[in-house]
Amino acid sequence: MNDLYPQISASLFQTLPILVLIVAGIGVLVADVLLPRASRWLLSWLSLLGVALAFIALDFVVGPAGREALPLHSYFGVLRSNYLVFLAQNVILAAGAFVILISPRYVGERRIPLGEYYGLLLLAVMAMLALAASTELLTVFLNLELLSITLYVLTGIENRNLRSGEAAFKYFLLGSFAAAFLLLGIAFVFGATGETRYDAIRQVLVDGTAQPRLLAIGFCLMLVGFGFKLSLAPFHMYAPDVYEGAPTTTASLIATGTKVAGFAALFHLIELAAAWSDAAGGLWLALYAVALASMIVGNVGAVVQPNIKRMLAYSSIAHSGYTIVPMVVMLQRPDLIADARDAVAYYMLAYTVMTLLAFGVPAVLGPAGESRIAQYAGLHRRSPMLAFVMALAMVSLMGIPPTIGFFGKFQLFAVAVQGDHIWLAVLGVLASVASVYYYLRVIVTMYMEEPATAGEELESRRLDGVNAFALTACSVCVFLFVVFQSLYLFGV
Amino acid sequence: MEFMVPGNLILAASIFTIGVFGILLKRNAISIFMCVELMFNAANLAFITFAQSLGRPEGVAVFLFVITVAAAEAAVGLALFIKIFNDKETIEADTLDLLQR
Repeated sequence: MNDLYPQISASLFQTLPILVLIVAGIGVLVADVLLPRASRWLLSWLSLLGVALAFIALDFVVGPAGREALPLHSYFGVLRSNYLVFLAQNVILAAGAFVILISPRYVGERRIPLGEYYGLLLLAVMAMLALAASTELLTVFLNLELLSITLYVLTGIENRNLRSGEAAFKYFLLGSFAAAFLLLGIAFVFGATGETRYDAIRQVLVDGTAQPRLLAIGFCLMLVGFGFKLSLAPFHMYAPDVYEGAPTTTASLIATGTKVAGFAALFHLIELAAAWSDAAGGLWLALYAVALASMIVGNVGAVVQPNIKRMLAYSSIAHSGYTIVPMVVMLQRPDLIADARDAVAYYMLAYTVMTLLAFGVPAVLGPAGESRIAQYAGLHRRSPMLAFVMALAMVSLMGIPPTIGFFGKFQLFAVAVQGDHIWLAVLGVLASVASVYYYLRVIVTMYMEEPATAGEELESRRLDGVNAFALTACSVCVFLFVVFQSLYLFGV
Repeated sequence: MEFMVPGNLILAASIFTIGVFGILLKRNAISIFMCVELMFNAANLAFITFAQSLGRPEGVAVFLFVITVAAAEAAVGLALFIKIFNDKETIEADTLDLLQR
């Protein structure tokens, strides 16, 4: 037993950010009970402190795990840290901080219970961090469920709003339906290989002693479970309803943090499947179909949406489709795994920055800007900054050059071209050209249209300092990371 | 590694299929949730079967964790159903149509 002790203490040290968030989440729940009603506003600062401490723990105490896959295993290989995981965890924490910063006024206006909201938000962020690092079948399932259960509650947390309850209802039923598929998939992969840890499964796959049919069914069923969490095309039906009904701050977390964690976990799974020579057959076809369907369904669906949050939901389906393009390629070409990892990591960052901006504006505008796109008519005269931020988000989501969205998409499709999947790249580019139509519609509405009647006008709202800070920081990131990326590419 | 599909696995597959069809056909939220539980338990049965046939104890450990997760999920789900029922006096899935308008 004595030789286990150093390994366990090392594991505790490596998972320090996760532990900090657990303590912070429970601390917020306790503080909610102890604090007098008048000083409950402290809770948002308390949870921001928790995220900041987790950030410090991640970046300065534990530190990056090295650019190349330096395997930093903890808990006997159950959690792993590498370049992709490290970046994903940073992005998730930043998204969590952004959501906490834009929350106070929104939560106050909607009379959302503060303690539960911030406590569950921190636990959801914690589950995302753990999911991004998971490399064991049971751990993946447990983290995904922890994340889902907290998000069900965060979706339905608005007491007086029927839409919030309905969204949570749909999210819950479809989410647990998909979780059952994931679980059966895990059972089949376990049955086919006899292992649950990814490194042990990889060994079995390389040795060729796995049961091929069970393994293929297992991987495909797991893809269903992940496809739901990432709102990939045939499993996307819940996304528009949930994004529309959920509080906008929750929706922004569902659209960004959940997807980043899910993509990191899916990447590890696909990387594992790529070690299996037969994966290039059925599994590859399934992933290819899912990528294509997501790009088409997302972009076609977004065109006809009159509601801003539904439009963003379809747009996030399309962006999920773009993000798995490198994974499709690397399943057939294991030699491109390093390129695919860089492309996916960078796009996760890009997608999160621009989606947070796009959700941040409706969240700041509150009831006056969360439903119909037509409500945005003439926004540039009332709130020039908000209109500019929204326009920036739309331009970046389109993928217009000086923004982060362009460089992210460029890398994704560059991997497809490198892997001789020219058609996938061409279809992806065509899909994003089609997307210009509905993103541009928002900009045209804001800058060129006048409100049809006086009642249609958005009430002009003053930005408070915290919201303005969050939106400004995020807008700067749209250009900042392009500079970093260029410096890195040119070897400075 | 010679592998034969044991009867348990066929049973698990049938229960899972019954769950899937139940979800597609039922409209009452409680019935739908019961079908989800049926699917979870079918997966559990598969885990136990594999654990036994491969001689690996991990499958049984997974089964214990999944039971716990399913209980946590049921707690959240039933609370949600009560909230919906208080507002609408019904939990038929068809009656929820506020969104997408």
